[in-house]
Amino acid sequence: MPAPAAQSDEDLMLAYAAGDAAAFDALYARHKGGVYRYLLRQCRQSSVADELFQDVWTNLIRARASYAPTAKFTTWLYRLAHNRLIDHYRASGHLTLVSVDDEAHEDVIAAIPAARSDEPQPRAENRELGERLRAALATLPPAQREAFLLQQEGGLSLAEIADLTGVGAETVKSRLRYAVGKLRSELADQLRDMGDGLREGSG
Amino acid sequence: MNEFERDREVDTAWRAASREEAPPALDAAIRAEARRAVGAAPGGKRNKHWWYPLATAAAVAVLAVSIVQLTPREQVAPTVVAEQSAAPREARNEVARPSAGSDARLAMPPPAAPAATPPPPVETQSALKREQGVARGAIESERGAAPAQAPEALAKKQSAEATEEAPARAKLAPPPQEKPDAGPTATFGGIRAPSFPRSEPFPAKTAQPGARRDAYAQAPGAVANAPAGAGEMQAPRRAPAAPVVENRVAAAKVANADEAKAKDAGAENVEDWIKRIRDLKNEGRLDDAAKELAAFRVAFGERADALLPPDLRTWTPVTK
Repeated sequence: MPAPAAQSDEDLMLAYAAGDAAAFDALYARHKGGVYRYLLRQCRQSSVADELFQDVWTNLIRARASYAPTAKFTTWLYRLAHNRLIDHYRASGHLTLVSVDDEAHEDVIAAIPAARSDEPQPRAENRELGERLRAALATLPPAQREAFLLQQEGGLSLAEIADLTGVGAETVKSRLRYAVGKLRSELADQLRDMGDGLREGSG
Repeated sequence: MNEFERDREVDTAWRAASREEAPPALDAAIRAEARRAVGAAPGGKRNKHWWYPLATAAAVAVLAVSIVQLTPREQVAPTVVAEQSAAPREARNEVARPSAGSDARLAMPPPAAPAATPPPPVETQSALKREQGVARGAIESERGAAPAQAPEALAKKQSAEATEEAPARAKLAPPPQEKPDAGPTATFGGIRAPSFPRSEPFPAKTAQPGARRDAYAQAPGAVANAPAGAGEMQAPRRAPAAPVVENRVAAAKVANADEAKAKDAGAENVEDWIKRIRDLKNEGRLDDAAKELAAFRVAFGERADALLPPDLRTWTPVTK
């Protein structure tokens, strides 16, 4: 039996469903950061993110017996997170924000409160960039933000994002293009410096 | 489907800035819940075969109890009695050995029993069961009386009793030529020194070489013509403990097949009985002594007077 680090997500999940707790530990170590940041960027409250995060993994544990590797594990995992987030929005009355169209309600998006001071702080050297990035992300419509986060944190493809969110692939592509463009314009100066550094480092 | 071309700079900036993790306490809670869900121990993967040693121990225990339950008492009790009476018997052998002279081999009990014993015939089964009961009674009586006696005093007393009972034994005992060991027993310095085999109950008697040869000589259709040393020659092949039990059971079966032998076995219990009556009498328990004497007379009938010593034969208990 290969080591858990060398196994695929799907094999680990099947092993955990068969009773191997070590497989769950490996799986959790791989994906806990991405799922947590996905939830944190969406709800923007660490206490709520903690609760949602625990619910997502609890749902995964309960649903382990019904897991079938017909799709990527990450797609299944982020679907659980997405569904839990929808439930949270529905319960808190923010469900309409999720269904906002891409460019139609930027005024509503701008009304979303900024990141709270109790959020986890990034490292010192990236502190300013992180704050600006989070602020820029917060200005994105929820659908664009979700598409961006699913791509960045979950590593999902266009098709997987489209399948998960229930929209077409072209819509996802449009959302991603819009989100990235918005972030670039917000962080233009800093990204230009970073790009110079990257080019110097590679040259 | 066209894959969206990712922006390298945005990706790099995002990875550098986005490093938040779930709190460690939340991690621990989720991991613990995951382990609970699959029933695993917190230290790691649980051994799925933890119950193998437990099941093995339980199976061994059940087998042991079953064997003990299925083993007949007749095969268990003599071993215990033999162990209890081993010390007095060895002491008696120590006493008897000097008088035996160069033939010390006959006074020492052999290390093991003969290899094989033929089964008794079918018609003797009922007699066999009856006599096993007699032998068990003899074991019980020896269990109560034997260990308290000092070896030397016991030997002297038995020699004296043997001298006293010589006439009676001459009537009761079978002719010497019927027993291969009767010769050496009767010729030790003209004294019946090895009278202790007669006074011992059945299990101790079977440990003696003469008694074993008696059993063989009277076994129907078996090793009746075997040489006198056959038992000693076959003894090293056997384990020391189990053959003792087998030998005693076999000797009981063979001895019980013959009615005359059974009477003789009853006579071997006479000395203990007489001793008990005498002890009761000396202790002043005249009622008990009278009951024992009456029981003795009932048990032996016309032979009772011949078996009783003169003081008890003529003693008339005065009950209060």
